[in-house]
Amino acid sequence: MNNETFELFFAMLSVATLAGTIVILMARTVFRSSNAGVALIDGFRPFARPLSAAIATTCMLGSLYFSEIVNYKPCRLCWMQRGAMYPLAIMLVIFTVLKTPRIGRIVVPIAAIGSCISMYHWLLERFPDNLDSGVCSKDVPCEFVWFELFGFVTLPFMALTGFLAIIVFNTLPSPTE
Amino acid sequence: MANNSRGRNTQATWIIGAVIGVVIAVAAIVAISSTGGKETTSDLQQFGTIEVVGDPLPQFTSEEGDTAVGMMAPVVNGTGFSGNAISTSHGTPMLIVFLAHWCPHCQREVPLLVEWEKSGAVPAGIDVIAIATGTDPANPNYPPSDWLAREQFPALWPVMTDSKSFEAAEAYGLQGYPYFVLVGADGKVAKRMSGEIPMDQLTQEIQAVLG
Repeated sequence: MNNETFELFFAMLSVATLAGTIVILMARTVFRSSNAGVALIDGFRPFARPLSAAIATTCMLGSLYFSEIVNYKPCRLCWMQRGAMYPLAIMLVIFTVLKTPRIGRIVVPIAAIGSCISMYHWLLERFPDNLDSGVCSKDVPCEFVWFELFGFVTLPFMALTGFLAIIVFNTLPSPTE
Repeated sequence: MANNSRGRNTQATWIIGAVIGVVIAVAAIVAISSTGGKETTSDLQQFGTIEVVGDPLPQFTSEEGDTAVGMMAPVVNGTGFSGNAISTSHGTPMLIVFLAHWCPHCQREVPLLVEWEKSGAVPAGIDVIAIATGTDPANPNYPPSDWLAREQFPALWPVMTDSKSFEAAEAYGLQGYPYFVLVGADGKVAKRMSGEIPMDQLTQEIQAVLG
């Protein structure tokens, strides 16, 4: 398997994660009063925390694969996103194993900060002229796109979907009786 | 009724679990089957051996108050993609253009340079040498030889390949790409510029050097 295989695999996971996040978000907002919405949320609840941990861990391992194996050099914004995602991966795994209650107040703020950085980084890739100086830095500039799939999936976009999923999955409403 | 509700929730849980598993499996299958080995190979040399004669220039910070102006430019001896010898030896006014294959600004600047040359707007009496630097096989748009060939980079402008440690770029004080160094016939630095430069501005700068 080559790098392109992993790029496509992670990109598809990212899109699927975003789709799932949107579905859960719709179920708990627009369809919160419907039986289907309630059933979906109740059925998904056992998966919310382990899936958050799996998503954060996959994001962490994926970023390490691309930087250490494929040699895509992380820029300043990449490191800032790593500063949010890596602790989340470790914490979510521990919280899942220990079944720690009410972890949303810990993980959601971190994921929210990470998602803002990811969003800015993704926009910088889309609109480099508005946000940079017209010169490529001798080091890796943050508007540099290592790869792009489906026209919009890049490394910051994948991180963004991960952060958003963590936020939504860890802010589910209380269980119904 | 409570048992029915719990039963439905268990059913929903299994369904959701199955959906997640199927999505991951499908993503893996599609990714593996859709991509094959696509190696980019080139028989041309993307890195060269560089010899620097003279003192390196200070690092470029800005055109305003550039301390390198008036200094003797180092002479860089190297090779091109085909191993042909190329040198920035003194004697004629020279424009040295440093380009990185992965840099979006270089990718936009090269077509302007090509059009500038084709239109005949390049002032007479100046030699243009490009140096392919910052080369990295892990970065997009590699190899630079293919990129410049696609862009129909002028054959009259030699392209030197920098070393893996970017010695030519270091010798001229490069801090960003694209990077331009104007050297007078006396071998002294006349101007250094960085970023996307409009061709009319480049022409004016060269004409100022040529006098």
